[in-house]
Amino acid sequence: MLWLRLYRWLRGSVTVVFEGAFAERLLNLCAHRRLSVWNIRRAGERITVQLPAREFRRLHAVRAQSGIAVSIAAKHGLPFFLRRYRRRVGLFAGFVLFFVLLQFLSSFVWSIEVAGNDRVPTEEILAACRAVGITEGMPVRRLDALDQRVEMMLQIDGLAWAALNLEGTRLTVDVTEAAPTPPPEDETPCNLKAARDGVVRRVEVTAGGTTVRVGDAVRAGDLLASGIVELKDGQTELQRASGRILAETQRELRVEIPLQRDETVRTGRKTVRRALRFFHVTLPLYLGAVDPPFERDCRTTRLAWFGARLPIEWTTAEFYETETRRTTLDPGRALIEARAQLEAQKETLQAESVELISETSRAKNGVFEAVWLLRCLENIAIPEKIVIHTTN
Amino acid sequence: MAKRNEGGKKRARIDLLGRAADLPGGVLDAGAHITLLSNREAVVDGCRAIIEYCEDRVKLNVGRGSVSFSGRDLEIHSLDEKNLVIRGFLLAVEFCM
Repeated sequence: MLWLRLYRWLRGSVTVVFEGAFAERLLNLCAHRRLSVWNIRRAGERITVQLPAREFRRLHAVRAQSGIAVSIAAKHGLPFFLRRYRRRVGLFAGFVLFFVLLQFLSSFVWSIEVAGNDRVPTEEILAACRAVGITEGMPVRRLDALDQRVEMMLQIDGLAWAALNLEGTRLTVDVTEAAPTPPPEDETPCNLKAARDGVVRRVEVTAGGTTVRVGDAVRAGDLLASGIVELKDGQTELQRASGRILAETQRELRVEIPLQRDETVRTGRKTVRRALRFFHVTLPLYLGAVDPPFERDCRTTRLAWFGARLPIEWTTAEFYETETRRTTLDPGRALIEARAQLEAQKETLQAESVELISETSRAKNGVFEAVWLLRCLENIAIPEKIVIHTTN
Repeated sequence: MAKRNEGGKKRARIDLLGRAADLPGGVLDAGAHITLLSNREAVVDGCRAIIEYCEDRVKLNVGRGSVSFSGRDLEIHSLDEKNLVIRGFLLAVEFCM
C-alpha cells in the first residue's frame, strides 16, 4: 500500500469535485472509460475523487457527456512540487550539491574507535594505527584492513587478535588481548635472611629449615630460614626457602621543610584562548600570544552526533598569569605540612601494623625538621641466593 | 419471448454444469464476486455500474440484479472498470434479483 501511495505521489494526482444531481453517473462513465479513480467520498451533492494528473484531460470528455460540474480541489505529488519550484535554480543546485558533498565526505574515515581492550591502553592502539597509516581523515580507499591489521598487531605486545571494521565512515578497531602469562617460577636455591633488626613475633616458613624462633632477636643479615635441608636419610637437599618472618622493628621517618621558599601564585589575571580542530587542521580563534609566566588549564571537547564521535574538537585553554613570591612558614604550619608528608611516608610502609612511639621536631638554620619513631610488625625475610662453588 | 426462454435455458445449462463440477452457484456465469473483510471492507468484482452512492448506502448493478451495502461513513476506496472497493462500517448487504 505504501508503494502504491509512493507511486501515485511520484506520478502526481488531482482531487476533483463532482457537483450536481446523479453524480454517480460520472463515476460510472469514468469506470467505463477505464479512468482509474480512488478515495471517492460523498458529502451531500458533492462527490470528491482522486485521479492521476495525466488522466484529468480525459475526464473533460466524460464530463461533457454527463453535464456534471467538475472542479479541481487540490493537486498532489512530485510533478506539481517540481513545477512550483521550477524557477528556483539555487534550490535544485543545493539539492545536487548536497548529494555530491554527502558522497564526497562519505569517502573518508571520520572517526576511529577502539573496542575490546582492557589492559592495553587505547592511546597505544591508536598510536599503532597512526604508525601503519590509519588516521582520521584518511580516504576509505586507502584502508587495507587485512595488511594493516597485521602490521598494527606487530607493533603492540599483548594483542592476540585485531580487526578493522569500517561502518560507513566510522572505523572500529576490535581487539582481543592475549592472556597474561605468569612469570616463570624461580627455582634457584636460596636462604631467607633478615632485612633489618628486630624481634621475631611470628614464623610462617613454607619451605626450607627455620633457624629462628618466636622471641629471638635478630640483626640485619642474620639467617632466618636455610635452603640447605637435611633429609631423614642423612642426605642434604638444596631448596628455595620461602615464607614470612614477622618481626617487631623500629623505623625512623624524617622530613625536612625549608621555612622560606619561593612559591608560584596566580595573580588573578586570566586569558582564554579557543581553537577548533577539524581532522588534523587546527583553526585558532584568537590573535596574538600569551606572555609567560602562566599556568595553563586546557579542556578539549570532542563533538558527537547520536553517539558517534566526530573529527571536530573544541579546545578551550585558560592561561592564568603567575608570579613568584617568597613566603615564610611559621613553625605551626610547617609542623602540619611535615606531619602530612610523614603520614604519606608511613602509608608506603609494607607492614602489618604501625604504631607511633614518639615525635620530635625542631627548626634550625631555616629548616624545619620532624622525626617520627615507629614500631612496626613487618616481614623482614628476604631471599638470598645460595652460592655454590664447584671445583673440577 | 422466445429469446428470453433461450437465455433462461442457457443459464439453466450453465447451472447444471456447475453443479456437476461441484462448483458454487454463479461461478460459471457472469455473476459478481463479493468478498467481505469483516464488516469494514467489501471488494466487489464484476460491478457493472453504481446505481446509488451516499454516505450510508452504496447500491451497485451486478448484472443479474443489484446489491446494496448499508452502513456508516461509506466510501468507495477505489474504482476501475469492473472492480470496486467499499470501506466503512457495513451493517447490511441486500440483494435484489
